Amino acid sequence: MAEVWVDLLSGPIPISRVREFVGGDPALGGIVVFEGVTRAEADPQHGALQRLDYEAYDAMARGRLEGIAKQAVDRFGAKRVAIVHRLGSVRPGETSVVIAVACGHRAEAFDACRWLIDTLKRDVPIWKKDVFEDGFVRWVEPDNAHCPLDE
Amino acid sequence: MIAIPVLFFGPSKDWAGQESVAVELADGAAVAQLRAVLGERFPKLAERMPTMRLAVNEEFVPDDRRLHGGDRAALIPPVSGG
Repeated sequence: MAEVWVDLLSGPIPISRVREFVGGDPALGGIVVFEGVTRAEADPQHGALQRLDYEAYDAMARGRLEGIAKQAVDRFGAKRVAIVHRLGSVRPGETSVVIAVACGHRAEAFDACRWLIDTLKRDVPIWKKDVFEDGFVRWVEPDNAHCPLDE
Repeated sequence: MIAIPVLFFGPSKDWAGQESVAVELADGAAVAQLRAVLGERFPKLAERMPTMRLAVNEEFVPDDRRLHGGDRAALIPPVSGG
């Protein structure tokens, strides 16, 4: 039976606990942990990025995270999956999302983890704003702004 | 008639200028009709409507999904988590 843990947190993500959740089963020979980190950026007009402010459609985001975690179990044979996303302010260098996957072998673990972060960025209702040094704030426009309904 | 509560999130909250609205529709109206009413009421939403998805009861739905009393809708602009 696969084990899944998803969460949205307003403070720092306990990264070692996310890693521990997927560990401990000697039958699982591949563990992949992905961390998304706020990148230091600068805008020519508005100066350095101070922070990202994240918000979510809480109930739906939790449901979608659970849904994609279960899909990773079905599609890639993942046995343990943990996805924790931070909300609120996240400063450059801090972690905004952690995904940990344990599978029998490394190939599926890498594939599942990559698929999970790509799918999260497309389908989980979470949004962020850039907040710059001079106080300028803007919503982040995703690269692929056209979002067809898939599956 | 039914009143469907619609939640706005992320940038759609700014485009609508509010966090939610109740839309009156005939029972069984399609999600496409809900989109049309929202576009008429909030012109800034209208131009972005093709980029946005609709959720009903916290699931993404296609435009031909029929709406009934008790359904809760949300307008989902392109997401930017991660």
